Parts: sequence; C-alpha cells; structure tokens
Amino acid sequence: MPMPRECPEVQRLVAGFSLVKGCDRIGSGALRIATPFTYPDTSNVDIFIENVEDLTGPRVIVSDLGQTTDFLLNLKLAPWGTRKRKQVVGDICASLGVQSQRGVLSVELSPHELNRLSDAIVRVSQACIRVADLCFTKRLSAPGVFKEEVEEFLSGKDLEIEADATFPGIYGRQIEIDFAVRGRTVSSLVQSMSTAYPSASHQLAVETFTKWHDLAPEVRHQHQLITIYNSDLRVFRDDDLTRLREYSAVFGFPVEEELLAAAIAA
Amino acid sequence: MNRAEFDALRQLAGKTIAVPITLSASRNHEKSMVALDIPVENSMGVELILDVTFKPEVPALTFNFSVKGVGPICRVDINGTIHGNAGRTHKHELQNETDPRNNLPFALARAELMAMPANNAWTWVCQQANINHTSTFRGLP
Repeated sequence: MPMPRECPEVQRLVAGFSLVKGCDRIGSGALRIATPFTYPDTSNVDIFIENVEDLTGPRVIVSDLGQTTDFLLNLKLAPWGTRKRKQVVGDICASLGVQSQRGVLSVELSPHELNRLSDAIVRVSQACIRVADLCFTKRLSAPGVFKEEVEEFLSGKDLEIEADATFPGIYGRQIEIDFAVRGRTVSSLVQSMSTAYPSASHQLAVETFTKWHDLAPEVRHQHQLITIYNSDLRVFRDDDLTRLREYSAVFGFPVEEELLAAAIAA
Repeated sequence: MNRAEFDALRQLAGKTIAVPITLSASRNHEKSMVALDIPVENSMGVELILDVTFKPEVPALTFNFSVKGVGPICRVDINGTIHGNAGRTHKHELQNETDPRNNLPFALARAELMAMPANNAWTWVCQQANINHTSTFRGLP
C-alpha cells in the first residue's frame, strides 16, 4: 500500500475507525459501549447510553457509570478525597462540558441532539482518561502535606466534612478550624499539627491551644474538639500534648487512626 | 513487593477475615455499593486489606486486595471493564514490583466466574487466596 501523501488519503484510511469496539446491554437496560480509549492500566473505557424519561422530559445520558471512580478507588485514591483533587476533577470536567456528580462522569443529550452522540462519547471518554490520570499525581507527590493526608483520611470515612470552617471566638474574632466533621451523633472540630522542626512544634501547639481556648463556649459545648498531630515526626513535647488535652482529645496520626476514626464517627 | 513475596502471602495458610462484610451505598459514589478497608489478618504481619465494589445496574463485582504502602496486589473483576484479551471477567495478579502503582496491568481471563452466583464467586476468591472468612457477607445479590 502506498504511503499517504495527501489529506484525503489519510481521511480515507481512517474512515473505518469506530468509537464502538463492542456493545452489549447491561442489567438495567442501558447500552454499554467498549470504546478504543484506555485507562492507564490499559483496560478499555466503557461508555453507557441510558434513555431516561422523567418530569424534565426525555433525555439520553452518556456516562461512565462511575467506572473511572472505581479505577481510582482500586488505587485507594478517592476523587473526592481532598479539596484540591475535587477542584482538579471539576476543572477537567468543566473544560470538556462534562458533569461530575457523585462519582459519575456524564453528558446529557435531548432527543433532538442525538447527532452529537459521537461528540458526547468522545468528551466523556476524555474526561475518564484525564480524571484517571490523577493516579500519576499520587506517584509524584511527596509524602504529602499533613493537613491533606488528614483530609483524605476523614473523607474516606464517608462523613460530612467542611474544611477551614470558622466559628465565633470570645474576643470578637472568628476562629478558623481545619475541619468540621459531622458523625452519627457527634459533631467534631478537628485541628491538625505538623512540623519537621522541634523548635517550631511548641509554638504550633500553643497556637492550637489558643484556638481551642478562644472558641466561644457554646461552640465548644456543641462540638467534640480533636487535635491531630503528625505521629511520624516525633517532635511534639509531652507537656504541649498534655496541655492540649485540657480542651481536646489528642490523637497521633497515623499511629492512632483507628481510635480517631471511632471518635469522629460517633 | 515482588512476585516471590506475593506468592508467599497468597499461599500463607491461616489468613482470616474475622469481620462482617456488608455492602452499602456510598454518598460519594452513587452507582456502587461498597465495603472498604476490610482487614485480612495474616501471620506475615502484612497490612493486607480488601475492598469490595458491586455495581447493581450492570451487574459487576470487584474484589480488590491491596497492601498498605504498596498498593493493589490482586484483584478479581467480574463483568467489569475489558482488559486486553482477558475480557470483562478476569483476575489481576502482581507480576513485577512496579505493578501495584500501575494498577496491576497483567490479567488472566476467568470467564467461569461470570456464571457463578455472587456468593459462590466470593467462596472461589477465598479458596484461591487461602482466606477463611469467619463472619457474614451481606449485600450480594
């Protein structure tokens, strides 16, 4: 076969390319398409086509049925695990006009837009690949900013979490706490502490103690206060941790992560 | 973890899951029922954990074994994504030290699992991995 030298020849050579390498119907009745696109582990990206009719009218949902999330969870990497990661996923999806909702990547088409089905399949597939590439960031990252590691841990417990929440203080200033966590029956305020330098650890512990002390009494009574220190670094003084126990439960992370998990889920 | 260490762990007798496994809905992952971070006790002192994911709409079932600090080392996918010539139902195993961070690229077809009831598939996984599950498994179809 001669080498392609002109554009029409290239177009003719690839005209037979299809986005549908395989198609079957799944248990819910939706169609499952195996595309030629692949995740980083070389498995094929599946795209699901679902006809939906509800109060908003008929529409076609083109989605990954959460399989990209499954891929990342196999690597213990939750797309919702940290604010930064959620933001990256949001930015990726926004750039492609794809929705990301509760672990599912999708595009909706009206019955009049089915001529754009190929475009929707390509966009959702691109989103699947780009979001799945978060697995490479896990390899490149340093052991991690401690606060993000704590955030990842808390997120993995399937609890409602608010980062950098502010609460009224007794001296008229708002007090910012790393995380507010809602458990089954108890709400917790969680403050993390980490530093590689023993010389800085005392000041950090004093700052955390001040936060707890300065919170308005009603806030302290409504919440369980939890201080988490980086147990891998062994820089925090016993007297500082004892002082913090005047106001809060104190846990070393990750060494006491099971106790911490039980405390916040209560 | 290399292949020899993986084989030693897989063949190790007395591995036990002593806790109930219950698939439940996840607020962040609406299409899957999950049971996560199930400890697999073993005499090698390895922090081996199991994650189970079930997608009822497909239906698809995944048993993923990972070691803390290493990553996934073994996974059984039933009616999941197509993996090369291994199809949609296959078993992944660690072959090389880099495989955990590449999400276990090697897979062998296990089409017979597709016809098994889900509870039988779990029994098969336990037999293959020399695991004794001494508690209940709830949520499988």
